[in-house]
Amino acid sequence: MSLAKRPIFRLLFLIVLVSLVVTACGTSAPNESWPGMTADDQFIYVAYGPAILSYDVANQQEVWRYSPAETNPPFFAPPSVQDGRIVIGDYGVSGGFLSPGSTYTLYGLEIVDNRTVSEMWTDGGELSTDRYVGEATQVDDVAYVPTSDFAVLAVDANTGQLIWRFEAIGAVWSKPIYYEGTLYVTSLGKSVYALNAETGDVLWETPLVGAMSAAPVLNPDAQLLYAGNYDNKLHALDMATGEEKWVAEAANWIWNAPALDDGRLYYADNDGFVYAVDALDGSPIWEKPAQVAGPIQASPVYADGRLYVASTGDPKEGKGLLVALDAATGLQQWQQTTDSPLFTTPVIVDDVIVVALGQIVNDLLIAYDLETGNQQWGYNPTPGEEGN
Amino acid sequence: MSEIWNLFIINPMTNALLWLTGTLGGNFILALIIFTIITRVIMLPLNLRQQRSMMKTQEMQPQIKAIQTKYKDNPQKMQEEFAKIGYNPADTLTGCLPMVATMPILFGLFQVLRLVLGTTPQALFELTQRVYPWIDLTQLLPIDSTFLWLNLGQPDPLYILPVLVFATMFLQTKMTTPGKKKNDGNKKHKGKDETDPSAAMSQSMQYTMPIMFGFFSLSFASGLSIYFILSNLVGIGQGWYTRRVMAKEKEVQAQSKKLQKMGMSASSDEAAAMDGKEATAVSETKSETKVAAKDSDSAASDSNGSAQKPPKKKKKQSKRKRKSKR
Repeated sequence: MSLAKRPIFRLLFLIVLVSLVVTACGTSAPNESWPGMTADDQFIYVAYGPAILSYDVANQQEVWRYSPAETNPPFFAPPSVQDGRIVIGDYGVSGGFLSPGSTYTLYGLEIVDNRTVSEMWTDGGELSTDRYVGEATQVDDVAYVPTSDFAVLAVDANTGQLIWRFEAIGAVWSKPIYYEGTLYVTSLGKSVYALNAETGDVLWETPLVGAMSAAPVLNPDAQLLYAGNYDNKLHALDMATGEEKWVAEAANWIWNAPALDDGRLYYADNDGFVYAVDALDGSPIWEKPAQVAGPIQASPVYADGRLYVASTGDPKEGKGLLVALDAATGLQQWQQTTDSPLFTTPVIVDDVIVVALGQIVNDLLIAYDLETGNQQWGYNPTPGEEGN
Repeated sequence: MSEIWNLFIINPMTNALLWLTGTLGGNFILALIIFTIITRVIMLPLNLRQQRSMMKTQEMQPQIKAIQTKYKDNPQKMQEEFAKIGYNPADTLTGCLPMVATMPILFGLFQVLRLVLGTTPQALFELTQRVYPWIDLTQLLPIDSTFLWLNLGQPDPLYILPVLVFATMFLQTKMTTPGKKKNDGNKKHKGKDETDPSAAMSQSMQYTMPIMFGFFSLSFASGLSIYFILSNLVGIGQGWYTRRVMAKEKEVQAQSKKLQKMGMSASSDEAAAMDGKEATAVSETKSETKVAAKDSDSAASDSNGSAQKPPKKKKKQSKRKRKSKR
C-alpha cells in the first residue's frame, strides 16, 4: 500500500491543507502603504489612510483633518504644501461590487489661517487611472504631480486644470524636482528625464539598469543630479545632458533619495548600510559603511553634523529603529526603537526629529530630541484618544 | 501560522511566477498561463481520481440505493454489501480533497498577484523580503501589468472576464460532474431521482458555483480572473478526457463480461463432460461397491448442476478412490 493511500496520511494531508486554508483566511489584510509626511517650520502634514492631517509641533496638537465625506479614499502620498495650498492625490476608491475599477482623484486644498482646511478643487478622477504615490512639487501656481499611471501631470494648482501631461516609461512614484525651468523626474521604468517645465517636452532622457522610486537630488554647484537606483548604485548624471559622470556602489537596492550637505552625499540601502561619499566624485568618506538593523526605505536626514536614519528594523521583530550617526565618521550616537517599522522619511521641526510609524500601535507620530534621542511626545490620531 | 503560510505557499508561488516571468523574457501573462497549467497538472491525479470516483458512484447509485433500502436496519451488513460492490462511502469525503487542495493556491494567488505586480511601495517592499537569492528582481522590475485592455492588478472594466469565468466554470462543472441519467420515461424512477439530495445538490452546484465566481470576478484582479479561466479550460479538457477514458473502460468491461459469459458457458460444458467421463470411469472400475456408485451419481449430478467447485469434488473423489482401492 503506497503512503498516499494509507488513511493516516490522507488525514494528515487534509489537516495540513485545512490549516493552510484557515491561516490564509486568518491572515490580516496588509496595509496598502505607509504614511506620507512633509513639514514646514511649525506644522507636520501627514497622509495616512482615510485622512490628511496637520499637527502643530509647538503646541503639540492636531490642527485640522481632511477626509472627503462620501468617498473616504485612502491617502499615502506625502502632501505637497506651499503658500497655504495642498496638492495631493489618493490611492483610489473602488466603484463597488458591480462596478469594477477604481477612481483616483487629485485634490487641491486650501489652509485657512493655519486653523482649518477647505477643498478648492478635485479633478473628479479624470487625470489618472492609477494611484498617486509620490509627492507633488509646486512651483508658483503650477503643481507637477507624479502618478502610477506612467505619467507626470502639470496642473494649475488653483483650479486643477491640466496644463500638460508627460508619458513616462513606467510608474512615477518619486517627487519631480524643479530647477530653473527644468523638471527632473525618475521613474520605475528605469529612466531619468529632464523636462521643460513649461511645456513638458523632454530635454534629455537617460535609461539606467534598475527602477527608481527615489526622487532625484540636485547639486547645481557641481551641475550634478543624483539618483538612487534598484541596481544597487547611486548614479551621478550631468544636469545639462544626462550623461553619467560616476556611480557609487551599495550592497542592495537604494529606495530613497540621498541627503546632500556640504559637499557630501549620504545614502542608505535595503541591507541597512549607510554610506557617505564625496558629492563631486563619489569617493567614500567613511572608513566603512555604517550598518543599521533592517532594510532602509527612508531617506537619511542631515542636521547639524548628525545623520538620522529611519529603518524598518528586523522584519521578524516588527519594530522600527531611528539611529543618529556622526556625519563625519559614521559612528552611532544614539538609537531608539519604535513600536512598528519606519518606512517614512523623518522630518525635523524646531529641535525635534519626528517619525511616522508604519502602523499605529500606540502612536502615529513620535518626536525625539535631536541631541539626546529622548522621546519628547507621541501622537495618536485615533478618534477619542489623546496624544501621550 | 502565517509564517508557515508564507513559507510554503506565498513565497514559492511568488518566486515561481517571477522565475517564469524572467525565463519567458519578462512576459508576465505568459508566465501566468504556464503557472496555471503547472498547478493544474500537479493537481491532475487528484482531480482525475475525484472525477472517476464521482462517475463510478453515480453508476452504482441503483445498487447503492437497493442495498440501503434492504439493509437499512443492519448497518454492518450494509457496509459488507457496499464492500462487495466496491463502494466506500468515505470516498465521497475524500472526493472533495482536490477542491480543498486548490484552495491554498487560490487564496495565495490573491496575495501573490498584488506582490508580484508591485503596484504599491508596500507591495514592492514585501516582495523584496520574499524573493529567493537566485532571482534577479532588478532585471525583472517593473513587471508589465498590462495585457490587451487589462491592468492585471485591477478588475476588468469591460466585464468580459467575469462572463468568461462564468462560462468556462459552468462548462467545466458540466464536464466533470456525472450527467443526469435518462429515465426512459419511467415516472417512478424519475421521481426517485428528483428526491435524491446528492443529485439535486450536484445539479444546483452546476449553476451556483459559476454564478458565484462570475460575481466575484467583478472585483477580482484581472490576473486572478485569467487564472480562473485558464484553470477552467484545463478542467474542461480533463473532464472530456476522463469521460472518454471511462467510456472506453466501460466498453472493454462490457466486452470482457460478454467474453467471460461465453467462456464460462463453454468451460461449464467442458467441466460437465470431464466429470461425466470420470464418473463413468469410476463406476466402471468400482461398480461392485455401493460407495463408488454413490460417488459416480453425485459427481454426475454435480457436473449437471454447478461446476463451481470441481477441484474440491475431484479431491473427494480421489480420496474415495483410494478408500475403495483399500
